[in-house]
Amino acid sequence: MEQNDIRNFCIIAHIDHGKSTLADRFIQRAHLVADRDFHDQILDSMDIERERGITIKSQAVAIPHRARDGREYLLNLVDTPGHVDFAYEVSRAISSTEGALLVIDATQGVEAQTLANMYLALEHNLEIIPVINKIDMPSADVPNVKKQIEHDLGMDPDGAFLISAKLGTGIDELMEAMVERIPPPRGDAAAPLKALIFDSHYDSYRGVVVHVRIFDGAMKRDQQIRFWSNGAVYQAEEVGIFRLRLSKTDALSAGEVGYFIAGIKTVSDTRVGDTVTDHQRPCAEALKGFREVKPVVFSSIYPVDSNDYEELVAGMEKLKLNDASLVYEKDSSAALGFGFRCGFLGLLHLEIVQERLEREYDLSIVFTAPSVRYRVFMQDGAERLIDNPLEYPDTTLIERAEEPYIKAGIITPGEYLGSIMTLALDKRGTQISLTYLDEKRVEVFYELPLAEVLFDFYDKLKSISHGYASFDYELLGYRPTELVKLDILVNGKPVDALSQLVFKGNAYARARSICRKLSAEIPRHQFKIPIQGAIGGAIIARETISAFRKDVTAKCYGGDITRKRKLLEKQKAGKKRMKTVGNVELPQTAFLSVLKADEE
Amino acid sequence: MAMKTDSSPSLQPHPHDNALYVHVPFCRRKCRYCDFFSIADADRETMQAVVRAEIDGIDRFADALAVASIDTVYIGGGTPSLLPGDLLERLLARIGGAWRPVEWTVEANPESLSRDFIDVCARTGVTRISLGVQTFDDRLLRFLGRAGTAAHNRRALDLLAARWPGELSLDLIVCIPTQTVAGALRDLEGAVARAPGHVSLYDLTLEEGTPLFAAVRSGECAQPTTESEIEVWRETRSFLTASGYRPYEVSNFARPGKECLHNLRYWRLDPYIGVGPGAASTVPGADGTALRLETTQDLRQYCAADPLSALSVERLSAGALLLEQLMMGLRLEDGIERSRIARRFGAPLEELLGGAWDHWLAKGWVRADESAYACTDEGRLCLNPLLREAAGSISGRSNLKVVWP
Ligand SMILES: Nc1nc2c(ncn2[C@@H]2O[C@H](COP(=O)(O)OP(=O)(O)OP(=O)(O)O)[C@@H](O)[C@H]2O)c(=O)[nH]1
Ligand code: SF4
Ligand SMILES: [Mg+2]
Repeated sequence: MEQNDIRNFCIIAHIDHGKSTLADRFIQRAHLVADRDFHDQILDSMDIERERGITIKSQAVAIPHRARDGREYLLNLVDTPGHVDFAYEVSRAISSTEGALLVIDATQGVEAQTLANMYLALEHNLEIIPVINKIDMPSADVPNVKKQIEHDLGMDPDGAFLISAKLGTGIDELMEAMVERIPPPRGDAAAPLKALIFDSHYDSYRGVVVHVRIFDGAMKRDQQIRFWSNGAVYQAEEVGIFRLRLSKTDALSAGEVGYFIAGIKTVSDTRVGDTVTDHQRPCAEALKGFREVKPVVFSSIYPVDSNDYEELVAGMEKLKLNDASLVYEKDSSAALGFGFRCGFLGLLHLEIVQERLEREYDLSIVFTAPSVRYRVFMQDGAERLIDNPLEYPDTTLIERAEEPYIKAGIITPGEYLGSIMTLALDKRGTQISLTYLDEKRVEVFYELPLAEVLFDFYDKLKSISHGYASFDYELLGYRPTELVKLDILVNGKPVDALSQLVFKGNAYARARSICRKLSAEIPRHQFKIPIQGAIGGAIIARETISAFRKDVTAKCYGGDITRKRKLLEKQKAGKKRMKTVGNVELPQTAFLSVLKADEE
Repeated sequence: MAMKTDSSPSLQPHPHDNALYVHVPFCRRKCRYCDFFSIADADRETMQAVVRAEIDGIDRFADALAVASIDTVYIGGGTPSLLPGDLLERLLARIGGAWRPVEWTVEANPESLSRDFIDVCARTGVTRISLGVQTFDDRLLRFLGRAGTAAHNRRALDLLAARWPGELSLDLIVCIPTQTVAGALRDLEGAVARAPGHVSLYDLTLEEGTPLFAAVRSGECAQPTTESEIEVWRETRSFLTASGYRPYEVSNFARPGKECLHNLRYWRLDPYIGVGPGAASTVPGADGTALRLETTQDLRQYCAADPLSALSVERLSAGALLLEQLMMGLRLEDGIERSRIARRFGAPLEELLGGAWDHWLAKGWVRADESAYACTDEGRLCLNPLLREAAGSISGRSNLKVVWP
């Protein structure tokens, strides 16, 4: 395909502003899918995405489009996620395209990720087309959003498109403008192959499928290709483009977005951000790749059944192909055996990784309590970075500790400002600045400990502002803190996997909340199981689980056998969902509940 | 799978080793906690139609199974003592005329227990009366919405002491909101003073859909805490044990030899015929499987149809039977006989449950000797999680076989 007829663009926005719904309209205009097979947010193809109603993975799709000038164009769109935890997906999409549709919900206006993603797109010199969506809604306030585009984004509001992605209003005009305004790719078709791996996935029949954007040259079927970073050489068995399914072509040429399959045996040969070139005629230098991921929260993953470690290894490798933001290394625990220490971009990311490992690779796993990465200064002058409570040194050897802080930007309607300030104060925040964006909206910046933000800050912010406040953050650096290691004892024995590093001032409340949550999660197996929170041997919280079950002491005769049995069959214990720790069985949910523990 | 049948299920002849339950679905009024199938304020005509249909049902079952003997009979409810004397006699005479059960219980409520009732029972061959006293505290009886009062309880017990030659069992309820441990023990003292051979002691359970459930939900009254329920459990057990009653099942206590044989058959999963609206049967099918039959609760339909066709039929799989065997049998102090498991399922429980049994054993939740498998006291109280685990391992087995009964 001629580069002049190609447009590569991504759709970016704050969460829920309608990116995937807009992608739906493009897909339907191009008849990529029969009407009877169509469903809303068709690019959200994972079960978890559909269940949660959010996009988790960026998805590329090639849209053929006949423009008013009579020419056939190929619009390669990438739908991106809106949630902060998946910002890495957005940044890679931005690095592989020339244009961006910046979608803004007409009822919500500019929000935190609208700004964050716009800056990212500007950094990469993308042509940005502002798109005001959901104009069909009664609460849409287009003039106000236009004002925000001018004022907050510094863009010309007259260039914004008014659409309803849901109803399809304004889509044709938008597509026309995309062809006109987004520059075509400008690669050198005659140069040696130079392609960027922006994603990949594992297909159980086909093996590794590598997603690439061709910058220079072309990739043809049967061509010998080479991965830049490790020199691995393969033969491209199949190349093609994304049309909801993989669709074979003879070649991918400069400017195009597509995939190749090359019988890649060693899964880890494929690295997102790597350059692919021709083995015989390699390019002179590699592409810039992507910025490195910076995980902010760490937790260990263990198989529920220690015998499943090898399956976990294989599952992690394959998941990593499709989740470039996942970083991990080996780890081990007295209670849980061998596993992995993993870094995540947030707690939602962590939850998604857990679910994907379970669903896609059929693993049963537990996660340990998540932690940020602390900086610990030792008496002997040494400095250590610690994100794993198991590695926390003896307190007598520690001189002082620091924890990571972030700068949080919150945009909110003025009426919620008071509650938000209280929340930030609760979370040990210091206000840096406060600006009125217009009569109604305020933007406040806070310095906050990252650990405080990870635990349900977002949920609380959303609930106190009835969904209207949005927030984004960047890492600032380390600040002094007072740290303690909180141990959790189940039936009198400390369970290392439940230990946490916490700010001293929160320890008491956190301990109580964890004990309470655990006591609700642990099945009432024995007569009495004490659950305790302790710091350095001193018990600071305690709950008791009692085995007593009333349902057993009820009448049970011939008339209700069937009903009772059916109930049991419905609640039958899944296999392997329990991890025996000490002599108590902890269900997976017990480990998860600790993740969500907060001081109420 | 359960299904409604138009034609009656084909049963296998089963002349001996039978039990018969007859449900009398009438009550003076509905107690606030009750989710048993019964209707309040039925007229004589309705009762007559139901009793007639039940007698018909007994005949049909007796034919279909070629019943020659019946070991135990239980007439429950509802409130059998609410039946007019002539109807009750007609029902009991049908049974007593054909069989000589070793144990034959009829349930009664104090406010409707009459001389006439006692006499009819004595005349027809009933061996045991089970009286629902629940508590001797008028305030709590009112709270429960019972039709009777403490005075009714005393009068009924006096009457039985004077006229009833047979066995006596008393039903009591504990863990009623606002009831104290001392109060529960006072009730038990009052009951034991009447020297019944058998006591059933139930924790009040809040069943969804009952008025009491709604009341507790809405905060109208507080539920006893788990701690206090445990205390009641311990105290009442030790009181009854000290008074010579053995806790032979989770909620049932008996003097030696006075265990309820009929209920033991349920807990052992032996065959039983259930007659009456809402009653269930477990009987052998012609194809060699166990059938669970559940009778319609629709009185009109019950009275109009052939009693053997107003049923839903479930063919019990080997897995279902094994789970039921555990669910019922592990409630018993003496547990499940090894020979019964071996005979029915062809392998020892240790093997049938995969690793689960050994795991429970290691935890001290169960015990086993040469003759039986049983829960320990500790295990019995957390029976449900154990059974859920058993359900999990049973569902994972494909090669289970059963020969029942
Ligand atoms: N009324 C109306 N609703 C819309 C419109 N566009 C999207 N929505 C609704 O907004 C919600 C979010 O839409 P999505 O397309 O999933 O939003 P998204 O931006 O892809 O969300 P994330 O991928 O999770 O960031 C859905 O309920 C859509 O039906 C629109 O034009 N009008
Ligand atoms: S008497 Fe028994 S069956 Fe009748 S309503 Fe009361 S508890 Fe229910
Ligand atoms: Mg989306």
